[in-house]
Amino acid sequence: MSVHCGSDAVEQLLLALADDEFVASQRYAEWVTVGPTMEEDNVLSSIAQDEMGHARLWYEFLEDDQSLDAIGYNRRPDERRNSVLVETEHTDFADTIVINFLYDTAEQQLLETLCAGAHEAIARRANTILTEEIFHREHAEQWLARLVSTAEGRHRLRNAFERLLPRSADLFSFEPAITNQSAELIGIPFDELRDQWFKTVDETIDSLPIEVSDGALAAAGSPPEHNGRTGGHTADLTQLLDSIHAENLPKDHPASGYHA
Amino acid sequence: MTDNTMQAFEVFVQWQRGESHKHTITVTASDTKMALSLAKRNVDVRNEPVSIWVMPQNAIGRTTADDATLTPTIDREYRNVSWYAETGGSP
Repeated sequence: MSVHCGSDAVEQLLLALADDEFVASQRYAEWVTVGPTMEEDNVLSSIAQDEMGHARLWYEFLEDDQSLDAIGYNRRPDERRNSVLVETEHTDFADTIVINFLYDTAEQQLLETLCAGAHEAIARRANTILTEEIFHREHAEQWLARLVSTAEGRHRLRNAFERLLPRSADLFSFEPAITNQSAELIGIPFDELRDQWFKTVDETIDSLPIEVSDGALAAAGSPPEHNGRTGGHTADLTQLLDSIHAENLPKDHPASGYHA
Repeated sequence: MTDNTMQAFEVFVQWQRGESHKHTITVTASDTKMALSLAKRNVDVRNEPVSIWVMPQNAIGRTTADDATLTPTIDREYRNVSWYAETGGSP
């Protein structure tokens, strides 16, 4: 199914949102069989499937020239527009929960503005995705509240925030072609959305019994060191994409175009 | 909220409105809220459950498998409804 959505700026924004979902999904999926408990393993797989479904909903707006598989699987790292936050390797379960919290908070805000937007087909899909996002935020909140119940948990959660807050700085740093059209796209400037996101993040961290450094928090609200929104990705994305693309796939396999 | 230990929770799912909750799975969690969250994605959500109950396994009273008081020892077959002829709906 191909859906039309009008302007280039809209398409570029949807591509960034879709790439977020696609890449986040791949990282969640890495927990399959190694989740902290069997039940949590199933939950993370389920969230991974949700995110892949969401990526599909947005990629469908962009599939005029290429198949969905080609858009999702065959694009090189520099062609992707996801935030570097979601491509980051999960080295600890605390990383997963912090990414889950930082990313899904931002996504909720972006989707809510899209829902209020003028484009009906986009608003409808944003609304569909938002319904599933309620559980994703619940998941992050439940775990944040529980990981702090031991000294080890607090230590590991703090480390995850220190590592990941700077990598969330590009969440709202879209290309000028998108930010110049913010009034038409989402009704408010992206900087204002970032401020709302930062406030929520700051308040949540403040409510937890952990000490996150001012430097890490400040980095989240500063211009990004790596900006995935303009294609400036980290080695983590290359590692991720390489890990899902065998070099010896048959030529007619949908994902074989990555190495072509 | 949680004392950082995990325990088993039994999960009961109402699959259809008006039907009783049916025991479906067991999840391991630190507390009731977390057990509910885990249950939400561990039962088959594609079958659209109506509501979910969880309760700590150790809060459920139970009989033993060989509880003699569960089965009468003298023949009471005469009390079974199957001995009455069907009336076809009229009294």
